[in-house]
Amino acid sequence: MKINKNTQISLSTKNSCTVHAKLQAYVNLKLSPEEEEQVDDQLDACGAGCYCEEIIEGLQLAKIGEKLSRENPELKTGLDQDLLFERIRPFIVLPEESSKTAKIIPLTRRPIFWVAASILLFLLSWAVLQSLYHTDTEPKIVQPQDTLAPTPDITEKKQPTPQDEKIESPKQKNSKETPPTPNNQPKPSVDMLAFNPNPDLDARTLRSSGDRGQGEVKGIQPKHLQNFTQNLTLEWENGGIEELSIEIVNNQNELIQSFEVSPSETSKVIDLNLWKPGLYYWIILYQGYEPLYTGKFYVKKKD
Amino acid sequence: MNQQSIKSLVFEVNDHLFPFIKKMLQSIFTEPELTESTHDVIQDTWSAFFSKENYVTRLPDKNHTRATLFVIAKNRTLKMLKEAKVKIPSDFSENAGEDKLLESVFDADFEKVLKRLPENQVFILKAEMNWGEHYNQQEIVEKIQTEYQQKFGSKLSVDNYRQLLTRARRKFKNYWANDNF
Repeated sequence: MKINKNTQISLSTKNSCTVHAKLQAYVNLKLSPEEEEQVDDQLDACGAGCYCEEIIEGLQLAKIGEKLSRENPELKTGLDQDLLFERIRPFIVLPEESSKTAKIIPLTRRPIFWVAASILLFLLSWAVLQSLYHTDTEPKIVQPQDTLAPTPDITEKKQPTPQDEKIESPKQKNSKETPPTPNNQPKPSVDMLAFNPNPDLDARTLRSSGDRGQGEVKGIQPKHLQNFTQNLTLEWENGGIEELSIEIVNNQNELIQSFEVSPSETSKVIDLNLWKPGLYYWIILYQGYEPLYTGKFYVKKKD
Repeated sequence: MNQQSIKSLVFEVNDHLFPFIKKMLQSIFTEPELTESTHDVIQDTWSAFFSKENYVTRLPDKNHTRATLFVIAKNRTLKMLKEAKVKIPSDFSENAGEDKLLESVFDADFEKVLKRLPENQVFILKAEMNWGEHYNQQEIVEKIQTEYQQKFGSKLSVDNYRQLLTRARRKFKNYWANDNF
């Protein structure tokens, strides 16, 4: 299956290809010339890389397979169905199973976990800061000049040291400047979820991280988890493989952009100006379905 | 769909996939490698099918599942042939080199199939076969548009050319698949 240069067309044609039911009859030459013409018109409108074209090709090939099986039984010599099924069994995923798997994903990979963890972390920071402020207001326990003393006593340890400050995140610093109150505590927003990793896609990036790609195709830039605001340059190596395309998806595995690349092409600039902040994955595909490389990057808000 | 019904589907599809792939691989392998490589391609095909969620959702539709698997299998086998440096003819340019390979592998009788196609589509197919390897479609249209207009009474644009070529290939394969000529 090819990926269209224009993603919108590709997605809409998938939905608008209304001839599904007729495809088998079309391939079997069971339609009248008028009906055939009608299907041809719809397929033309569907465009190159149309989902229906893929199905038609598959139906045609399946007929050839069926014919060979029927007319050339000698070609089936050596076919070991049971052995084959045992080899295929580990890969089998059924639609209902895939939804069950979604229910048993590890706790740390569920968005709710990270939202809850963020709230807990915030409350803990708030509690710690409250206690520090409380300490500051206690007279004569730690005087400013004491912090400069060469051998501070034990009580000084309650005062934040420069080292402590270094390991504080900017968020913690800000909360020091304006201690949070229950009213101004930030609530986790939907936007935060856009940064959650996608376990399935992450697994692919791990597989891609060894030689950073399979065969002659390797992703080069961006390295995993770089941040981008306005423009991003995707770079890859291609030893001459044709029929490559690149898909960019968000952390929900929703297609954001896709384009075909020629064997000589090795980079592409992506304009991120209208993109929502979040985690994105870029996938180099062979013939539109076989992932050869998966990388990821963050899009952040412009300062 | 449960494990038992998926097993039936796998058996049913493999019964047709196996001779299809084996026939294509016959040009580069002999037994026992031929059978082993055919098994490998079938395993890869199913693995690719199940690794893509979009494909798995086609499972309830047996025809679409089968069609998808055959496209994947064809691509995998052609990749193996390319890796074995089998020359893929390029008479039709673009993806047509693969078409040509398939035709030769499956003994399609090209001339007989052509007789079933509309004349203007045959004209375009032959033009693509003659010129496609060395000229782009714009150049081919420039070469043939006068003759096309004389024969068929309408002007030929690059868009018409592409449309006719696509339809011709699609129909060609339909007749070829049905062996109905």
